[in-house]
Amino acid sequence: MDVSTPAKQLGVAILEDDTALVSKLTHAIDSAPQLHVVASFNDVHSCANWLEASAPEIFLVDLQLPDGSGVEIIRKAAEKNVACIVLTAFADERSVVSALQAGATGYLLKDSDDPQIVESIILVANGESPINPKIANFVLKYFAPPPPDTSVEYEVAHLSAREKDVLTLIAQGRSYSEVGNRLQLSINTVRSHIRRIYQKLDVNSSGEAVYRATRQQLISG
Amino acid sequence: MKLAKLLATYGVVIGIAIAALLIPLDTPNHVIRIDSAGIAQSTPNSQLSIDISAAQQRQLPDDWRRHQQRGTTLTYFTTFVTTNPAPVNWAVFIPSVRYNARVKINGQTIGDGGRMSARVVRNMRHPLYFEIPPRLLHAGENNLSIEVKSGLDEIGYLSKVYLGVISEIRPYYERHLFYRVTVFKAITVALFSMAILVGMLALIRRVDREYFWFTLATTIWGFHSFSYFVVDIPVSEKLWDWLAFVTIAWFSYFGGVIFIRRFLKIDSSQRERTTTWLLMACSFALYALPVPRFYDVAYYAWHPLCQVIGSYGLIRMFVAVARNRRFELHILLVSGTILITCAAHDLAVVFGIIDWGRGYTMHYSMALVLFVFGTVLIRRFSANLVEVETMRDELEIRVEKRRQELERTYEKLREEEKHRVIAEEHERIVRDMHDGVGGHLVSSLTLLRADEANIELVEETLQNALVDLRLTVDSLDHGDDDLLLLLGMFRSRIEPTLNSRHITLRWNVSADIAAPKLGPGESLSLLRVLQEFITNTVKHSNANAVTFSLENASADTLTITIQDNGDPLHRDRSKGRGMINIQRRASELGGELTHEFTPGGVVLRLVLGLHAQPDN
Repeated sequence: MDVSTPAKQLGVAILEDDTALVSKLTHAIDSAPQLHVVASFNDVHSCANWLEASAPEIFLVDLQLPDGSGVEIIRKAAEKNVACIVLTAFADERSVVSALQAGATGYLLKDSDDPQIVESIILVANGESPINPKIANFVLKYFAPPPPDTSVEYEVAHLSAREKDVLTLIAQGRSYSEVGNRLQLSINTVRSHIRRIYQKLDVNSSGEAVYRATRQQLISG
Repeated sequence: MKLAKLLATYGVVIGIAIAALLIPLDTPNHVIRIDSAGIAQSTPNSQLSIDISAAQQRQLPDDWRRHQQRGTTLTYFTTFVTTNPAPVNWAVFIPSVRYNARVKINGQTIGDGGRMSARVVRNMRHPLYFEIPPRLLHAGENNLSIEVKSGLDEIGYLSKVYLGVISEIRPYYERHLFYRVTVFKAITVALFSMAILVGMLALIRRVDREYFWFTLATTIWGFHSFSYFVVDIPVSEKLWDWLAFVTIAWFSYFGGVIFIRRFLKIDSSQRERTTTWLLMACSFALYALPVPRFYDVAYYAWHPLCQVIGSYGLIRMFVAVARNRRFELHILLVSGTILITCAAHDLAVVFGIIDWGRGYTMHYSMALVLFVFGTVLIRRFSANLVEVETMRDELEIRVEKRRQELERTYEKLREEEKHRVIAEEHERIVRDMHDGVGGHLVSSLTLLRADEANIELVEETLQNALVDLRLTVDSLDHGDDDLLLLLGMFRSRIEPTLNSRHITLRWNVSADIAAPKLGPGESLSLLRVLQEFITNTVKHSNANAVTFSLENASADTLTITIQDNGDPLHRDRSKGRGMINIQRRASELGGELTHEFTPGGVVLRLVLGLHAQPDN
């Protein structure tokens, strides 16, 4: 995978209550010349206070914290154009999509080794949004048109035909290059589509939020 | 005692009916009443010569049978005296005649009731009224002659005759006309209306045959009543009279016997059917008789027989009332008693015992009978409807109750099934976790507690535990028909590991593949089979490529093939724990597993049937 080295060193903040994992992440990040850890927190409250005045380039966020959910931090950080990466043990749609809706850009498996950690962070810094078949399948259902007997009184975002093609192939287990070959697109175009899809996960109105919440409940069963 | 009381009661009813029938008829006063007249017989084409002094005198009303007289024409003549000057505005009123009459005053015809030749007009119930033209009467003595024409039965009749001022005569004529013709016709219309109404009920309540027989009997009587007021008959005299006779008999039988039996819920019998055929046969045999025997049999045998047949119904009703003193049955029996009494009166008229001029009364009582019976039937029909509606409502309530019970039972069963399925799934997940993650964690703990802990081995074991947990989560999340999604997730899990080992993954999976439906348990077993192979390849082979492919080798199977390009000579071919696990998982899937060591590498091939049921 092509990993372009950023022009300057990127500041990375960490929100994670597992101290062993924080040590591992700090070690991996500080080992990379392009990255350094600017702050680490083990609770939402102190992290939120810090975020009022500061903003790293990248934020690694765990969702399950003792005093709240990391989704709140992701939302605040996204407002400041901070690229948030959600830390997850399973990369399943339940833990990832809510973070993506709040504005996260990607996810990182907690048991990744050091090179994988650095690679994932740099890819996100370069604008890539990682995705897996389950997340793709979930997003397809999430954006499925409402049933004929449902009256939708507000504007809801939809996927374009191309975006649906990309998600369908990823849900079938295709890699980015295979998707690009099938649809005659470059890998970067495929990544752009995925990034745009993630942006559409953010809701624009309260009405749409209700509708989306209902859809999510239906999909999650 | 009770029976005696019942007989006495109905005896009183009969008495009242007879008394009513014997009430004298209304006749005009202050007019000239002709009580007797001389007679002269003439044949149709002969000239009548009248010798008043020598003529035989007859008292009026005159029934020809009393004098054993047969013939078709008889002329009555008399004189009457008027005042001076001669009166004007006078009329002649003849209450009853059989069949028709022509009236002359002083040799001049002032009127007749219609055709006096073959198919004589039948004015038997129709009073005759003729106004005397002015200046025809003389002051003093005037001649009156009345030529009476009978029918084929050669039985004639002339009632008393009245002459007088129109203003005195006419009201009586109109009253007689009203009661004897207009009311008769109205009753006939009412009968047909009742027949139509009950006929419609008969169509709805086919199971209750009394409605049908009532309709039939009423209709027959309705047609019979035409013989009373149709004066100009459309067919031959014999045919018309035959129809009148047989309709009485059919009415008596179908109304008095069959209808009453069905009304009292007595089932039909072979005897009824035999009697019906017999009656039909006798009806046609009657017509075959030559005139005058035809009329003799009809009047003196047929009519009494009808009376007897009709009396059966009355006796049946009487027995029913004696057993069950329902008010409804009493009312029916009273009306039936009146009917039979009137029928007996009419029979006496037919025999000549009662003056023919009194006319037949059965039609009047028929209105009462049919009205009463019709009302009872309609009430019975309404009661049936109400009963049906009540039963329907009850049934609906019961059905609703039962439906609710079934729903509750179904819900209960569904809940129990749900709990059972959830419990089974819990058990499966616990078993899987025990076998998978649990086993790995215990191994890790054991390794850590060893005297010389192998940290790399511990790390590997814990990593395997995490992989197994992820496989378990993936297997739980996908639907029955998402095998591609399941395998896609598997690819996303293993590809980073393979990449880190510089092993290329070639993914030969088409979206058009037909795949079996796998439940969570089967999905996990499949993933573990594939994971085991990948783990072996990574740990024990020198492969740099792994190829994964799916194909439908036959219409009802799916073949999953995973192979590496490692040197098979360096692989342990013994059936280690991993291979044993793979075999066990494959059998859990119901698939056929082959594990080959080929020159090109190690090949694992799993064939699954497409139509197996999922385990959820």
